[in-house]
Amino acid sequence: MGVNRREFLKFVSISTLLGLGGTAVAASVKKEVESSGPYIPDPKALNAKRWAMAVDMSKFKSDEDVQKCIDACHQIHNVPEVDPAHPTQEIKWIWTESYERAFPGNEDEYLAAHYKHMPFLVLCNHCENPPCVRVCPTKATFKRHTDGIVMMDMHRCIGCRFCMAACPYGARSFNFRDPRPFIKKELNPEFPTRTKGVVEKCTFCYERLARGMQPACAEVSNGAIAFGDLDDPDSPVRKVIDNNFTVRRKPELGTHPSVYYVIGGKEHA
Amino acid sequence: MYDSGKIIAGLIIFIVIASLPFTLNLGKAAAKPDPSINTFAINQMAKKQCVESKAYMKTTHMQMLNNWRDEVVRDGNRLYVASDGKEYNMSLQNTCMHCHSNKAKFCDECHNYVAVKPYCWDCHIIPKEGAFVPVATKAAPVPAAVPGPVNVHFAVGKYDIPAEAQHGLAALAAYLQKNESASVVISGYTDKTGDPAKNEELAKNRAKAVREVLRAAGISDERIVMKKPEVITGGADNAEARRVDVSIAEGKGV
Amino acid sequence: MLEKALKGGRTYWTWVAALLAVIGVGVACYIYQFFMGLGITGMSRDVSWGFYIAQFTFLVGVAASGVMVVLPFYLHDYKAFGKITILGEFLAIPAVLMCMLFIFVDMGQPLRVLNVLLHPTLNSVMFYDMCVLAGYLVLNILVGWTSLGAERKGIAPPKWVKPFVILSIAWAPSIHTVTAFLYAGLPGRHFWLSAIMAARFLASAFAGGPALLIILALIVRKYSKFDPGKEAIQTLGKIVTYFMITSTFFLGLEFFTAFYSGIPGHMQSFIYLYKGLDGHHQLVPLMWISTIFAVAALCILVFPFLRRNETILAIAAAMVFISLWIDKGFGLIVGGFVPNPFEGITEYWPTTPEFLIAAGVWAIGFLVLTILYKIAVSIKEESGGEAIH
Repeated sequence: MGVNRREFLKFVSISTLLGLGGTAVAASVKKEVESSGPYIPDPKALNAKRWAMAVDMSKFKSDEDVQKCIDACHQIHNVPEVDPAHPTQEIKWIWTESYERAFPGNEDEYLAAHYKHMPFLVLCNHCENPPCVRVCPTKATFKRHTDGIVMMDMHRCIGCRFCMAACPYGARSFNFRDPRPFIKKELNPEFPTRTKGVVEKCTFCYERLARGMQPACAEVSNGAIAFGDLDDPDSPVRKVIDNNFTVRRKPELGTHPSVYYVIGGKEHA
Repeated sequence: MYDSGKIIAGLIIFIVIASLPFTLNLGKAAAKPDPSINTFAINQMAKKQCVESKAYMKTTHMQMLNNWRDEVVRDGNRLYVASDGKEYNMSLQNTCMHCHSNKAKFCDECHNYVAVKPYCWDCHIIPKEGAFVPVATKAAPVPAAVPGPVNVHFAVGKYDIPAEAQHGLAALAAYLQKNESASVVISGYTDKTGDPAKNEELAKNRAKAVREVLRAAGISDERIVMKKPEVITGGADNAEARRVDVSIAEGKGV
Repeated sequence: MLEKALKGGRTYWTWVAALLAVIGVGVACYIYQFFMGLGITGMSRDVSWGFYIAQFTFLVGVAASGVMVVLPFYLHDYKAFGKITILGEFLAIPAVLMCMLFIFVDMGQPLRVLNVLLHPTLNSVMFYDMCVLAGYLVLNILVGWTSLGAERKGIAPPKWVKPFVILSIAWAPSIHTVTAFLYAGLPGRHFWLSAIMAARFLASAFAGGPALLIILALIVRKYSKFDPGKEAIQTLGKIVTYFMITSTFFLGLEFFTAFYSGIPGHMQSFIYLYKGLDGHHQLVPLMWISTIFAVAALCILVFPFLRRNETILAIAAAMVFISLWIDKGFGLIVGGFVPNPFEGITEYWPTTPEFLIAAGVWAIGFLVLTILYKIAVSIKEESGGEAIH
């Protein structure tokens, strides 16, 4: 190999000084650097072709069980609480909706009250064909080619909110103001907060997967949330799908959501 | 020259405004930046070595952070292999600021001098200044023999490390740094009072708080074993029960 | 030529001062928004675009409508438009400028605006929108400025301008088509997910833009010695009439599809806008004003003897403009967000600072318009007004 990394970086920084040209050069030579190996995944990392989740509603025994998942997520990701002065500008990654709201178009006035009032956990569906990614003008939201996670690059988001208009699941929240004053619980020092003017949403706990841990909500769900590789027939999520009748939210839109729901699960049968 | 009065007046105003940055700062010598590396974690290091050489970090840390972010967020790579072959978790908050826990005396020193305001801290959390400083910075003695188990006692319902426990922990940390094959086992306990579920959480938090201290001293996670005791409410009396046991185990993995 | 804008009477300077005052207030409010974030607006998690983006959408139409005077003059050699072509081109410039400003004030991270160029994303309609808007701005400045400069010297504009004129004619519909695509390709937003969205946009633009041009031409005639010409104004009246009919027809098509199919998702936004949904009816009065104005204007415009009277024509033009402004500059955008993806309803109304920022942007647009028109009119007054081509 002709250049080592140090020399290469020096070359890039000088050419960056010389003008935008450097960025183009960096982009074209970057691949070479990757193969030379300065950046590698954590060996502990969990890997998948396409991460997916199956939420078995029958395994949630009480509202607290559901709330535990929400709290775990919002706590470790430093998600701010609702500003009582501006409740409509709230930020949430995972929350509950009734059947009618989670699955609009499937309403049925005679649906048994038990199902009607189930607290369905809703979050970003990490679609295989995500409309939010299609519309983003800066690739600030993008689908990772490695594991199918629909990610947010908070450094790149310009806050145009096109993705919020495009998401058919209402999964995205915008930081209408500085979120810090509204994080009432203690900050998780290992995870950043966000800044005002960017869009955020669930990331399937990419930061935990990278260190070999399950997503926070799945971890505290007592098995109600199965998480795994949709591409692997032996994964926990595929086991749930194989053994139960599952539904997804708004499949007719062609987005191919990666979050499945078991509604009349065996625990109730 | 037509309108010479207006033109000359205009020129004078222009010169005054254009030279404001100089005139305003006249006579005020800005102090030379002197970033400090006097932190607990850095003092604990046998060889004070950053991810790359000092000169390289000085000139390139911003590009490096940019690349790190892209690698972590966009490509899912977490580890950076430095030129000396050592691997680092690519994280401003958890790696850089872990050692450089003195943002005001380290980052701000130069950033203020050159009048740049990086927006890192809009999102990334600034470590609490001096979180682990007090006893530890006075160079804890490095024991040659294996130090005995350390018990850290906590107040009711609390999981912040009391100041008197710092010394013992610093000694443990120093031993671990000297003996790279050694690892440490941490177990958290609570007293018998109160809600068992909450107690379990509390015991875990106490253990985690201790782990933080060791992490801050540069002990990697694989050398820290978090062991949940079979009964978390163990101990002679309640005060004795509210504790974390930390003990050294030779060899990795226990 | 700019020096022409520096000589004016008392009325001119009073008008300019008034605009500057509104701009000042707008800028102050924007600084407030810049530091506080978009939380100072009435927008929410559910209605994530509001007044700003709606104004942007409406103004793209105004910008595109310049083609309605440029096309007959350059392609069909329609002499009557010779005098007002420059008014059309110079209306497009501030309109595009306002579009860009409205996008800018709507951004959560305005300092990162260049990310759109640093990371060009070919699958995002917004990227194309930015390209076509910038291109249209350049084209109009180039063509307008060059032909006016030539007119001032009493010579024909240089030959190289002609291809740019033709290009700008083809370009105009593209800016509004692309803007419609921002909305018309989003799954799950039934109100916008309509194939005739771009057609609707163009029809309403070609009615609303010329309506504004009629009013501007009448103002120019009143306050200067330059007369854009009776025939030109009457022809604009005809254009407004036909496109207003088309626009209303297209809206009718949307209603038919929604209500005859009876699909709830398609009906709900219309019900919310015109009748109120689940007890929420904040926009109903506005939408009915829009409807009444549209019907009244059409009743006037379809009768040639009525619209021949310039006062009546001006009133009809104003009604068309206001009606379309409410429809496209408010209802269309907010309506798309109601109901939200959970079929819940969050209502939207702009806050005072939000409104003042929008007013500031409009004032900047009008200031640029005033300066450009002042230059054009001063030159027209000297040359007698006939453009040569």
